[in-house]
Amino acid sequence: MSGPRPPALARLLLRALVPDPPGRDLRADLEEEYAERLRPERGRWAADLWYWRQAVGCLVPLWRRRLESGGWRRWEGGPGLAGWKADLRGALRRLRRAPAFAGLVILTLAVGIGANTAIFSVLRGVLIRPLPYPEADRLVRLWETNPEVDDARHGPSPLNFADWERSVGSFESMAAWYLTSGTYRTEAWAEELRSAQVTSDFFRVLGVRPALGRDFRREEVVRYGPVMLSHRVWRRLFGGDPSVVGTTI
Amino acid sequence: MGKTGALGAFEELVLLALLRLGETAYSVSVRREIEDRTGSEISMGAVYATLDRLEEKGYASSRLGDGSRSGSGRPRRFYAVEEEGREALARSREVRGRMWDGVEPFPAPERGGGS
Repeated sequence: MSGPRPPALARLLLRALVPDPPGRDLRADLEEEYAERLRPERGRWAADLWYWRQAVGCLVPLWRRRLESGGWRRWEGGPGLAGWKADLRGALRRLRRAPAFAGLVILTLAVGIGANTAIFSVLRGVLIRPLPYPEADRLVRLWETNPEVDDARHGPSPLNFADWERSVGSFESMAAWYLTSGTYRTEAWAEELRSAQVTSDFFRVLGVRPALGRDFRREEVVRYGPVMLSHRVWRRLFGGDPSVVGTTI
Repeated sequence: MGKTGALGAFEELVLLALLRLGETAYSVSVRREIEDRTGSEISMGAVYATLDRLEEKGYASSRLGDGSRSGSGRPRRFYAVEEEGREALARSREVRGRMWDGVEPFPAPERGGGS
């Protein structure tokens, strides 16, 4: 074809998204009509715009038809059932012929999928996945802040928490925790363990019960009161021995 | 209802365009014919998809023309309406007529030459 050609980007779009055989015939048909529309009374812009509308507008009907019929090869008179296999073979052949392009496509896909996965993982953990406690939607976390200093949020001081517990009637119950660590000692070695100091209602607020032994009592809120072991520590340091309940560590 | 189901509105237009164009019916001429007579811009992709579907249903058939055209170097594919396609069109017209019966005094469209 001589003279101006249709917009390169639109042709590229068609070439990429409508495989042969229908893609080849479609591009030839559109170029035939485009040449007609290039006549002076219509103008280049109008012809370009028409080509773009056709290029974009053909994608939905052709892909819908492709899904209905099971392949692009029907357009060549071939059997529809071999469609997706032929498409796959054709795609692999193209990728082999242009390894740099294939690498770029794979890299783009990898970065895109990786970024999506990372973002979704964060969203799932923060917004979508509920906390692993019964009636988790009734749990709220309370903070203390001093707007005269800054907007930072802090856990309350023990006395402020005691005031909240006494004066705030909006919650069924309240609990507080303080992350710290403790030293587990035996005759042979000592080990630093992550731990938390909690108020006596902590597990009742969360709605969970210990698998072995009992929950804390209100009068036991003292610095060296009873401890509750995590399942992992119980298995690792005590071999999962149930008789550890009630002993001093 | 016919044995192979009702014709879609666009399928009906394409079959009618094939009948009107006769031996010169191929994708580009079909698209132009429908566009000229309906006054709406028609997507070439929709024409391709519909011609293919009509052929699969047995309402139309195609053959490759002689020689090749500039651009792709491939011959054009010409289409014709099969007997089943004519029957489907007749059924569609009959159903449409039955639906219009008794809808008077709805104003009848003026019959014009081009649109």
